[in-house]
Amino acid sequence: MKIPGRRSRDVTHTLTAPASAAPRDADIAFEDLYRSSRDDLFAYVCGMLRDRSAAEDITAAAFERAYRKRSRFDPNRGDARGWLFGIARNAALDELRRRSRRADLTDEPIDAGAQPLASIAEDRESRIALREALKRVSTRDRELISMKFFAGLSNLEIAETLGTSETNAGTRLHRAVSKLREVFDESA
Amino acid sequence: MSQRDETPVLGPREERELEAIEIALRGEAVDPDLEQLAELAIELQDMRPRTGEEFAARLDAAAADGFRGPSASVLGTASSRGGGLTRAGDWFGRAIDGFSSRPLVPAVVTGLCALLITGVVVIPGETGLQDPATDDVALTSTSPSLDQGQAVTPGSAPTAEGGPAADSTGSRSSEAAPAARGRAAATDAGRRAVERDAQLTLGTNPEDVRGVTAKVISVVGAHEGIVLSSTVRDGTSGSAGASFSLLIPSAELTGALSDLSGIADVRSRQENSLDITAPTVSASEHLREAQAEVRGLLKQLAETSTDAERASVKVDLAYAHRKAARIEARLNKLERRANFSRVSVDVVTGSAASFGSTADDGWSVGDAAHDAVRVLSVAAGVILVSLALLAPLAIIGLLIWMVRRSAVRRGRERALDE
Repeated sequence: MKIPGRRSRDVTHTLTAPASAAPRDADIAFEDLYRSSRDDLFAYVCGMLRDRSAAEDITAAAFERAYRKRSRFDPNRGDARGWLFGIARNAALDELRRRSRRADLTDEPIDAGAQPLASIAEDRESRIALREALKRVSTRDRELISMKFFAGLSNLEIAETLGTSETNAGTRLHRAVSKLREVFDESA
Repeated sequence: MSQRDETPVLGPREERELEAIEIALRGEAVDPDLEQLAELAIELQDMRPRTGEEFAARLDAAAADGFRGPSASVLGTASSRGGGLTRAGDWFGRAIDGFSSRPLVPAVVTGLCALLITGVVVIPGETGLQDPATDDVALTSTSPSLDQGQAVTPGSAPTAEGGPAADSTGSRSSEAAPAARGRAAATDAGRRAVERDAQLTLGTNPEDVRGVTAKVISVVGAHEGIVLSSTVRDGTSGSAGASFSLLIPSAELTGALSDLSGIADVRSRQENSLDITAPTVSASEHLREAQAEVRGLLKQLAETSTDAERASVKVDLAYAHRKAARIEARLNKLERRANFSRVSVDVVTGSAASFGSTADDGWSVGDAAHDAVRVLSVAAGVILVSLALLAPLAIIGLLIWMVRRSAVRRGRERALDE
């Protein structure tokens, strides 16, 4: 006999999940940010520190700190990538400060772990000179070059990371590139 | 100096070169005079450090785990390397971070504050809250160690050191205190004599003044007391009332006051006690000496043989009799003060008399409001004191945090310039 109103039969278990288990907007947004920024952030930090091992630590620490603070991020105050890179920048600068207090470590080639040795050997002479030039420019200039060319940040994102205006960021970027060209021309 | 403060000026050439970099990075062609710059940009782009697969996998796993695992925590270890000031600043910074990122923390802190206030206000304030049965009752005693009805209690009296000092007349005197204490301590094996008095104010309606007066007299009679004087005033609210001056046997005082309080609404009640053991004992000793002197003189009188001797002894005897009588009278007066308590009862009417209410009305809305105001004022006081203690600490912590933050910023700028 059919019982009217009943829509399920032989149901012995009902699977439910608490509402808290559902991902929040902040979690979803952070996941997107992580996926879109992981490699860029590492490239920026590595270019700035010239130390892959330290760059990995700083990148992980930056993501960890950003994750903890994700609910505090206010989209009205800037772009999420700028916020994330700002966190990583502070961590990287702290690492540089610690290094300055310790004996200087020998810099690793910034892409030594990313490319096979054969590829490095095949590098053109100009690239070697450029790598040398990158070593010789100041950290401040190298930071901007890392942001722009390694991490692929726009001038606006650079400005947000540095906490300055887009025009100022452009000026500083231009100055850094000019300095690099100058050093590169001397090396070449 | 921070480059944030610089005022940038981009000329047309700089703007054009920056634009060429953007174009080159997009993979598009640039003007021939900027090709070298474009090549540099592309070369730099090609030199981008690439994430190692192993690290990427570890980072992805940490991200999937919500960064709760033992992922690289360079920041944490870096903080622990700093000096005391840095560590204090770190702690304060983390505390501030924690406050804003953890919504439960303020609730926990609020709860702790509530517990603190409850502990400070309610527990010691149990005696501070008003007795629901009475309103504005001020119960004071100059001898708090003595319970009611303990006017003369053999063997259970407080020590002379604990009781109030009294001189030979029973009045409080700091100069006479040591001597009185000494005499009292020396003769403390007997009973202690305590003089007690009480003031009671009852509130009632003007038309009930007569009835209350009758009940007061009835209570006095029931406790074998004496109405020394009484005044009853008829009239309107405020002017009508009555006043009584009573003598109640000290042993009956507690019961009498309880019965009197039950007649009408108690507006105020005050009890005082004064230890008069020392003057009582002193008077007793003097009386014994005077009586011994009288007996000695009588014996001497019996042994006299001449009229002159007899006359001389009679003069001394008369003087000794008067002296003994004076001391006895003083002793009787002291014993009366100990055995009978003076009670003043005022019956008032008017706004303070709370028309229609009696002492048995219990805890009224007014009482609740009164208690609420008291609790709030005490709580506010506790918060104020707490703030007075915490504010300097918070300011010091904030200064440490600001100094540390400023030092960190300067250090970061320096690190960029190296």
